[in-house]
Amino acid sequence: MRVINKFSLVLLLGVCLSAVNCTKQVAQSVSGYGVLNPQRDFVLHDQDGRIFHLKDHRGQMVLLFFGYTSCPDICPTTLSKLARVYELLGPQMRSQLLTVFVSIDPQRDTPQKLKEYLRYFKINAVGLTGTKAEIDTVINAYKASYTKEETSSSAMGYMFDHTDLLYLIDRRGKTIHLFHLEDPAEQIAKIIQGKAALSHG
Amino acid sequence: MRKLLCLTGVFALLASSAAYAAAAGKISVTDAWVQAMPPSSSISAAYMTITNNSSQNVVLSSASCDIAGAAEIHQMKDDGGMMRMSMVASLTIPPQGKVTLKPGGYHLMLIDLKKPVNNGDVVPISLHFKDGETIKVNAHARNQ
Ligand SMILES: [Cu+2]
Repeated sequence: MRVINKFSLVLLLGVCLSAVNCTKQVAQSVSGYGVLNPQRDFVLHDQDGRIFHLKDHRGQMVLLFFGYTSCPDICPTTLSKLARVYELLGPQMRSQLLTVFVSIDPQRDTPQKLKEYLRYFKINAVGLTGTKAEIDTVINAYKASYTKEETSSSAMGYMFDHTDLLYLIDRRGKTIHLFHLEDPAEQIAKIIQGKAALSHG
Repeated sequence: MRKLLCLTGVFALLASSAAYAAAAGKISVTDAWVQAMPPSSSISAAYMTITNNSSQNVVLSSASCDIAGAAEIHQMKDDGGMMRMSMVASLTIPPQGKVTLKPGGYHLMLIDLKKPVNNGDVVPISLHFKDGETIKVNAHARNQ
């Protein structure tokens, strides 16, 4: 009896571990997502009201993520963490890595709001917005998703559910790695460094 | 010397009042902090650990904060890669148990901030429990 119990416990553990591994692997392997943004371009407006084309940033690596400024923890935490990533990468990489924060909340996140928000985190970042249709085009290109949840009970009025990925895009506009927003800064910096060295060759 | 005695007195008083609170209070709140946000933000979130020292359930039914138009109990959940935030009606702390509000989980959402929450600020928050008890905590603002 005891043997069986032990065996089933080990089995159960094994299943749990592989389940965790699987989701992580699928999420982090770019190939699992098919080709992301095959055009390697998109158009939105930046925090200064200028038109932003991804293809104007060839030669720079890009860290792309989707969020909104009235998000209480994931968004500010991610931006604070990216500040740490920049620190770890050193001054030379700073200008070569552009953080792109795409807001999914055009109603509240005006360019001015995005500008003030991003300035606070002191990183090389742009904040992008557009019409809902323009934002959805980018969301779809990266196979991300979000839903706006209207709520009459909360003073927020509405909130968002959104995917939690951070896209690493190389100097030619190709998505080469996916991070989870909760991945530690050290891990993110290390992978960026590795990929940067590769794409130089 | 007089100063030293005076200080000792203050410490003794503090120590005894803390001991009194722990012994008499069925609820204790520790490690309260608030996410420091860019000045343009109209929202923030407060986190803390609420411990129930009694043998009955304790239910947090609402919260309030002078610098926010509203304070709500929210939950953030990672639902298979989707981050979902929702409002919850109340939070139950089991007997002799505790609930930790933390990023990626439960938080008190501070909405319609009347002033910015800067790093180092102290934000007073009141927790209202179902049995009528109110506990006031000072949450310190910091970047996570
Ligand atoms: Cu919230």
